[in-house]
Amino acid sequence: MSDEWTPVAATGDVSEDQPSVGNVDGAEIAIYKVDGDYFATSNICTHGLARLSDGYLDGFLIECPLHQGLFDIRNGKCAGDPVDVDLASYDVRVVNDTVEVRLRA
Amino acid sequence: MTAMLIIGAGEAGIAAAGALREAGHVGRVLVVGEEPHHPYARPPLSKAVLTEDACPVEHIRSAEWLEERGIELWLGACVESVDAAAHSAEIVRGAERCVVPYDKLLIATGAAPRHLPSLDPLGGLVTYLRNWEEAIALRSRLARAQSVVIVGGGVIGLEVASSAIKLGCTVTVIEPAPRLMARALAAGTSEMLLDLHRTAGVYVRLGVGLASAKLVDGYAELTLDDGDRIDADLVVAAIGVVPNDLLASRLGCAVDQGILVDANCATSVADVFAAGDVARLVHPLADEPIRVEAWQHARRHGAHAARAMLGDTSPYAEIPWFWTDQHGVNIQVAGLPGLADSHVERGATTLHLQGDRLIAATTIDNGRDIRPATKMIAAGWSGPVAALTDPSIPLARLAQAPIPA
Ligand SMILES: Cc1cc2nc3c(=O)[nH]c(=O)nc-3n(C[C@H](O)[C@H](O)[C@H](O)COP(=O)(O)OP(=O)(O)OC[C@H]3O[C@@H](n4cnc5c(N)ncnc54)[C@H](O)[C@@H]3O)c2cc1C
Ligand code: FES
Repeated sequence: MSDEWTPVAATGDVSEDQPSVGNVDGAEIAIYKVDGDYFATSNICTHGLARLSDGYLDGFLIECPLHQGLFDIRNGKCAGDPVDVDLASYDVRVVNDTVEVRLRA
Repeated sequence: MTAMLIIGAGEAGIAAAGALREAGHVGRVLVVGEEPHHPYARPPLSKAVLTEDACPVEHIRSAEWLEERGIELWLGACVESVDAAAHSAEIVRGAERCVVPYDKLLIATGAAPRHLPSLDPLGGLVTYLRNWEEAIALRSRLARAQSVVIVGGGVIGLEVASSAIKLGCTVTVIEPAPRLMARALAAGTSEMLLDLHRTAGVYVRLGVGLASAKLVDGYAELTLDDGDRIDADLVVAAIGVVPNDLLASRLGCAVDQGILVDANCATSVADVFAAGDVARLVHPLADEPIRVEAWQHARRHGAHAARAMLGDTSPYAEIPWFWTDQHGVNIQVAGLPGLADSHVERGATTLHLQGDRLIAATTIDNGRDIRPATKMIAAGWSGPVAALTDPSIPLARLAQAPIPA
């Protein structure tokens, strides 16, 4: 159920260099870590078929590896062409070294 | 109030219109486009549009987006001539003909496929690929074709080859140069690409040109320079593009394989600018003016031209970037690998240097390296090759480090 928290990764497995991949109700999500804080969005670009976890994280912006579309990982909002549909974004909490996420309404 | 006229409703023209509004321009913005369709992206035309049933058209900007910004769009309208002294353009729109005054003019007329006269005897068996109609026609012909010959081993030809194989056709690519995508890629990447195509089942004939073509019983019979013959029921001509610079040339702009522009997109004629595929620009990475035929450049160059039309004098220095998708592999190139004299391989990324200066990067299914590499190229990274070779140091970290002296 999307209104429940789902564990997606161990904190130790999420690096600041590279987003990690998790699964919520069959949806692939990307988990990011910036300055010790965790964020999560859908992992699939809204423009084409690309995984954002293969992209480049620059501050709070994730750049799609295919056409360099940009999204803000804090809220999933589009932040640079050619994307124009926002990503689903997730609330994140850490419980006992486990990252848990919940789809944001 | 100043009136801005933009000729060409492609990536460069639409990006310019948007950037004019973003920069606060309140006067008229009119974009005139010859094609009847709402402005669309071309990259899918050689990819998903060919392989997927009813792949939807990808609009550059929606009609509402343009409307909200007060951008006028005339479609199916052709600018026939420009009187630079009078600051006016003559436009044909259906049966109508009118004269539109402007204060500043942007020419963003793009490019057209280079015509290959030796294929003319084949009539309707030959297809070129630049616009939506051509892509739709090619799609339905590929669905019926058995043997497809693609003349030209450049990016468009190879993407079509990749799509045609996927559809089950027998595919031959003829390229007179000794390697694939020779203008755009370093030799090592061309080799990898050749491998990729041959493994996928594409017959690639390198270093041999087309001698002649004739129609025999409804089939195309192609004869190569070495005497070999290939039969085909569909021939795709993809031997590069020529810039649509005739209009500019007639109005007095200096033109040499594209409209010559300075770092502010200005042509040699006052108040006339050019951007995108049609423009040949000065660029900090190259000694000679270059033409960049790539989607992102067209958008950025168009937007830059718009700001220049409003008086901004900062020079254009964006690092050229393109991607291509072939047989499920994504190749990206930042910078100008053709000017490099040495290459450093870091796994799926190759860095290209001119002397000790980083001038380009190529990634194979590794797009995440492009952005840090682009930053390094733009910052003029130069230094010992040894600093780049350790693949355990992410490029992103190298890009943040100060440039070694
Ligand atoms: C099949 C295909 C696949 C591609 N794939 C990729 C890719 O994967 N990656 C990449 O980086 N790039 C790719 N490109 C390149 C990219 O699409 C072009 O660089 C880009 O479209 C150039 O934009 P432009 O606005 O300069 O020109 P165009 O898109 O050509 O637009 C110019 C427009 O001006 C109109 N025009 C011309 N003369 C007049 C006139 N007198 N009056 C009115 N209108 C006029 C034309 O009809 C045209 O619509 C591809 C191109 C093609 C054709
Ligand atoms: S697929 Fe992500 S920007 Fe195109």
